Amino acid sequence: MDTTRWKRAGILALILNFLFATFPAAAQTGLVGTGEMLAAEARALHMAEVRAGLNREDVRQQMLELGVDPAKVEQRLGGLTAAELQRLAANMKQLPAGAGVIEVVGIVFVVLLILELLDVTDIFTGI
Amino acid sequence: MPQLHVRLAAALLLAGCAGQPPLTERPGPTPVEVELAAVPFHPQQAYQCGPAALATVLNSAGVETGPGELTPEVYLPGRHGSLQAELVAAVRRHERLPYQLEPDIEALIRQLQAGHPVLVLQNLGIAALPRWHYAVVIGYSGERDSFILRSGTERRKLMDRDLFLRTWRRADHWALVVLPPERLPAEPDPDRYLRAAADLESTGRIDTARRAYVTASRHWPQRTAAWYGLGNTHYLAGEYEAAEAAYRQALELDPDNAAAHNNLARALLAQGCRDAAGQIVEAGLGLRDITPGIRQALKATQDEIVRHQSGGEKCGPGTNTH
Repeated sequence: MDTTRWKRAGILALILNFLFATFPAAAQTGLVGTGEMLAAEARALHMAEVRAGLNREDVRQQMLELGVDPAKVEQRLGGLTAAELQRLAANMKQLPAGAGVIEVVGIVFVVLLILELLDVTDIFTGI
Repeated sequence: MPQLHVRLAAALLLAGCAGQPPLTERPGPTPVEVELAAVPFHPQQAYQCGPAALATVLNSAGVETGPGELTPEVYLPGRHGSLQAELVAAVRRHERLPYQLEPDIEALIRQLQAGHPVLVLQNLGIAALPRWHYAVVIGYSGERDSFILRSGTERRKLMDRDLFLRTWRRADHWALVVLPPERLPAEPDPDRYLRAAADLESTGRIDTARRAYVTASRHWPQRTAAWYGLGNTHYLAGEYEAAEAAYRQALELDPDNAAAHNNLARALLAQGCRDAAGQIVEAGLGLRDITPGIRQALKATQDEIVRHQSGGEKCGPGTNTH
């Protein structure tokens, strides 16, 4: 019971922290941002902000798990829009990560697979 | 033997274009020759084609940086690569406007002809076994039927047109141009451009966003969002009078814009014009079809006006000040 209350208070504090850290324009000045004005669908601005704050925390966690320097995480989060944070929060581990032509292992794997299908090789049993 | 043929056909389908429509993306009715030879080159290290390609397009837009500096900003060690959204975010942090192209090869070639190198994502593998790669397209040779790329460790890679188009299509035709906020891309789309400017604004790059809105308001003076955005960036810089003028311009183009009513009222209030601000908010709340979010913002502004201490009103009536 007590733990839940503390947890709730903690989450609320985090949300408030994110709100003010992420949306200086909307939260502190009462302006409607140009992006919000452009957004066609009707939605509650404050709900969008809360969601963005939660997504931001999610992306922060995933960045740390994926080995980003903790000192750089804040800076990297700072350039992302609410929509981008939402996409990353949902798919950070599946979205295309451009690596480059040096990853030869993968290409070799494809070649091997094709050769395997042609009965030229017999590396993968059970295909 | 017949079995081999079947398997060969299957393998080719798997590797090439299984279930995909035939190529319709033909560059240019007339053969084009364009090469931006002055675009710098940064050979990639290990998996870091993202930072290298990003450095190339940022340099071309006048930012002095290199892959070494950009790696901690965009590289994800756990993914051995960089995400598109993070490259876009890095462009914003370097005070440039990231303009995503429409998924069309003609649009890409027009950027080259206008002098803009194009950052692209390619899938060098197949859909099931993707090999994601960033490269910078710097030219196209109609004679050689090839695109010219700064790619990986190759300074001038010629890639057969059809192969390039296949690898690019497998990455959903993702292409990005990096612009100083004073420059427009070739054949700019106002919605795409203004959305990019709004994203600069929402991520706190206020001065860069303002410069982009100035560019937009000159090129598309009939676009409400250009003036609205200009108003927001002036407001956020504490230039309330300039903000007011820009919001009024937006309202002249779109008198039923509730958000512009709210923000104009804020700009008036910031100048101490309590009564005028009150009238504008009233007018805003009286509009039909306001979204809940904007109504909430207007109510908050109204509350703020009520709280605001009246100190010698030195402004005229709401609709005609200045």
